[in-house]
Amino acid sequence: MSTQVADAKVEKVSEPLFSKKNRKLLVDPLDGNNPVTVQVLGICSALAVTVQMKPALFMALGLTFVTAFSNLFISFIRNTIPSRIRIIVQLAVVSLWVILVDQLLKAYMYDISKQLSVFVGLIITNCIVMGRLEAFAMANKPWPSLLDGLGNGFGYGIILLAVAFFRELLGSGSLYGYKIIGADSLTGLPYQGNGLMMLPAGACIIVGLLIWAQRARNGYAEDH
Amino acid sequence: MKFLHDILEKQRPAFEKGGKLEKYFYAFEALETFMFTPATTAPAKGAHIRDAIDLKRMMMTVVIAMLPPLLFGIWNIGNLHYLALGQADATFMAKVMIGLQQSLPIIIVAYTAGALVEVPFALIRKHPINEGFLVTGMLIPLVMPPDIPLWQVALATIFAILVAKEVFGGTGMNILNVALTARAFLYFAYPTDISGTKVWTFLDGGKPIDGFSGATALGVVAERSTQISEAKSDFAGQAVAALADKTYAWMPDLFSFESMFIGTIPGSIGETSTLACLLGALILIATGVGSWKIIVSVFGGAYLTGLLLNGLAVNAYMDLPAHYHLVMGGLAFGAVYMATDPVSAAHTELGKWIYGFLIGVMTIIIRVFNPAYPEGIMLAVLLMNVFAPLIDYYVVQANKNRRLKRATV
Amino acid sequence: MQQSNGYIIGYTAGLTVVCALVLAFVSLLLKDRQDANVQREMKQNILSTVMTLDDKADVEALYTKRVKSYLVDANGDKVEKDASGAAIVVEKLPTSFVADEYKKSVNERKFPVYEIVNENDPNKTDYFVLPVYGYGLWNNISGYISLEGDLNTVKGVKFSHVGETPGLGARIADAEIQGRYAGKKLFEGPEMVAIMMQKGENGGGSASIAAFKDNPHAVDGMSGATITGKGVNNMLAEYFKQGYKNFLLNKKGGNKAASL
Repeated sequence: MSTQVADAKVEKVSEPLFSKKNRKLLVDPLDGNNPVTVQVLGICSALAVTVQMKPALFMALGLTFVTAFSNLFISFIRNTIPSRIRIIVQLAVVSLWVILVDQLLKAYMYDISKQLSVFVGLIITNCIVMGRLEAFAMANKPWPSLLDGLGNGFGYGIILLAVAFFRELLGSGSLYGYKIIGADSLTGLPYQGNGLMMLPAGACIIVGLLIWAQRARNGYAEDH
Repeated sequence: MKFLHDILEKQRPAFEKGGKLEKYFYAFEALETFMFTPATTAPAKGAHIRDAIDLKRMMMTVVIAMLPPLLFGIWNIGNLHYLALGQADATFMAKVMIGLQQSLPIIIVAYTAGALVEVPFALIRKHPINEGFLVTGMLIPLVMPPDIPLWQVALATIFAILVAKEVFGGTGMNILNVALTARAFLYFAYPTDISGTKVWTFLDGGKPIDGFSGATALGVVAERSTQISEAKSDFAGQAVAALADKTYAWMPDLFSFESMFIGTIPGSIGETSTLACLLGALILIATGVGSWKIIVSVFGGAYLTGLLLNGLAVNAYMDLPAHYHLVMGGLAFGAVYMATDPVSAAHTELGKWIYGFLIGVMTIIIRVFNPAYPEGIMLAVLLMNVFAPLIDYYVVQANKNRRLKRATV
Repeated sequence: MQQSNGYIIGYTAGLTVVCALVLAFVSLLLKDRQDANVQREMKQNILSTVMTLDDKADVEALYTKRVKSYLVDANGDKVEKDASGAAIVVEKLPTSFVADEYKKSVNERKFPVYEIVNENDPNKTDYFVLPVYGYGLWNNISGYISLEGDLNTVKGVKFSHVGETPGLGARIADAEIQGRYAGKKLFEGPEMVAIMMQKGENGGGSASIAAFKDNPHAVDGMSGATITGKGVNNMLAEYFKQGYKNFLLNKKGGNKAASL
């Protein structure tokens, strides 16, 4: 037992900050193990805040922030957490960060906070956060946990932005609030906004098509 | 004809295994079987096939069954066009010409757009091009308003074939009815072009006669219902009165029960005539392609729900006589051509009754209680498409349980 | 060992205290800023019904300089003290004030009034901005109506909604639809006639405005959004045929007396 701990310590000292393993933690959730398109977590908010790119971007940043720091914090105290109440402890830590994000948005980005409305608060129920805490941070050291949190947050963010890109472009002919196509836009090309993309159902279809494209490319097949 | 076929046959080696154009074999095959009898047929002796009904024959039957509403719809576009412009004495041919001018482009665009999706998928997935599209490509124009912009038809067709069919694996694998998916897409994406009062009568920019209103019968009743107080004495009989009211019915008898049954009313191209749909139903039932159980139970479900609402009526719409529901809007068209789609409907015999009945019930509920959607058959069919496998599952389970009980005794 | 009950209770208590302290501290730190944001947004809404504001505009200063606010009841009398006798400052009322009042019957409600005074002469009122609240097709709709100094002509409106159908009813939040209300009139002689959005649409944009150019009480409708339009009409009728009616009549009478 004691030798194992000693071994681990030696390994830690010798392991560079961005070792191959750690890089994998950061990069894997972007594609091959994406929390939204592969693990199908966090769909609720992916449908709700992706009408425009701006709220989607801040939602993604908020979630990345919460996941990363909850992971880090839980990882620090992982050995002190009584296992019988560990879920409650995790919830308390997550809610701490969620409320912080919500308060900061309300104070410094009021417009965005109004658009995101309840969905910031609902980050706490986002399966990605709890899932990473339980599956990774409880069993890993702080640095890899932070990277894992960041990676999953970015993975979620990429999908959110991709969905919002198509929804905003097709739905209202603009990107990040700038009119790209349609009457009185930058290009002036004729375009009629697609109402389906303004509805949550539009996001569902886009996420589905993204999953389709991703699986076709990666050769993923459902186990039967 | 023979020499044409010979020319085509000469190209065959290039497309067969090992040929230069092997990749395009299925495009070649589709072209050939579409125009000529296939080279490979069942031998005259030995095979136990009594009736060679294959996918192609079945689909052609449905297309033939769709001819009555299509032909009627073409005439009706022209008919309403001239009536609205105050030229009631226009000849039959003039009306048909106007109808053709509006509907042919929609049909051509729907088929072309469909082929654009079907052919690449067939080539990539290496399967024959499915005849299923013959039906979808004809159903889509029939559920469009005569004024629909053609680019929307193309977009909706591509969307529906891609998302409702190819994603699930192609013909025979779809969960949702493809033609209705196309319509639902437009309904939510470009609602102003497929709902409201402007789109159902083709005016061609002309100035309509005084008092003209483009509303459909369903729109009229829904509109009138919100204007009347919820006292029984106020709303009793008002729904039918509104249909005869000059404010809405700009032609005498425009919305009388008889004209709604025959179909000389504004609406989507193929949906207006209950009579034509019933003719089509006869063809489908006689050839065994469509399930009479579904058709009957849709009408039954709608009628009984209508009766129930009459009994509980607290507003003019609920008070609308139940038999009116059967001839208004697209109920008949949906019951005959959409609900009976053999792929997306329930497959068990008992399941068909339940499935059809619930479509009827949902249609009337959406019509009467949902203020945003005047017509409910589209959403009702799509919803029940989703539930069809569940219905089948429980019907099969119930059957299993029944038989197990017998076995253990 | 660390699983003992004492440890768990101690751990929970410790964690709770730490979290509570952090959150309380942050909340205290940011409270002022957050309230200011809410206020700023309301002020911006009020001002933007009568003038165009760019991003850099100093809403706070402009509001202090130009806006005079008070509360009136359905009789048109000013309400200056609340139930406990403290003076009412409209800006200090909760943000949900109009929505809360909407739950009462129309004659028991209190209505905020925002007077926009002239840039040079603080005693001359250029515009009156009146908040309204109602119910659309799916959910609540709300807005501000601004009237010219004659208390009759509409200067501009601003509607917002919670969940109207995108592409149909949700268009009430578009500047194009709201522009159709500009220049419409509330009074026909001494009689109050609410402005009604009509059914159907005449092509949108300038065609829509031209269609009802000669009728000062009608605006062009939104195609396919009859019920949202009706909700807007009911909202305006409720607030102007009752609600603000007495206030407007009093004020108009008063103005007339002063000018005579």
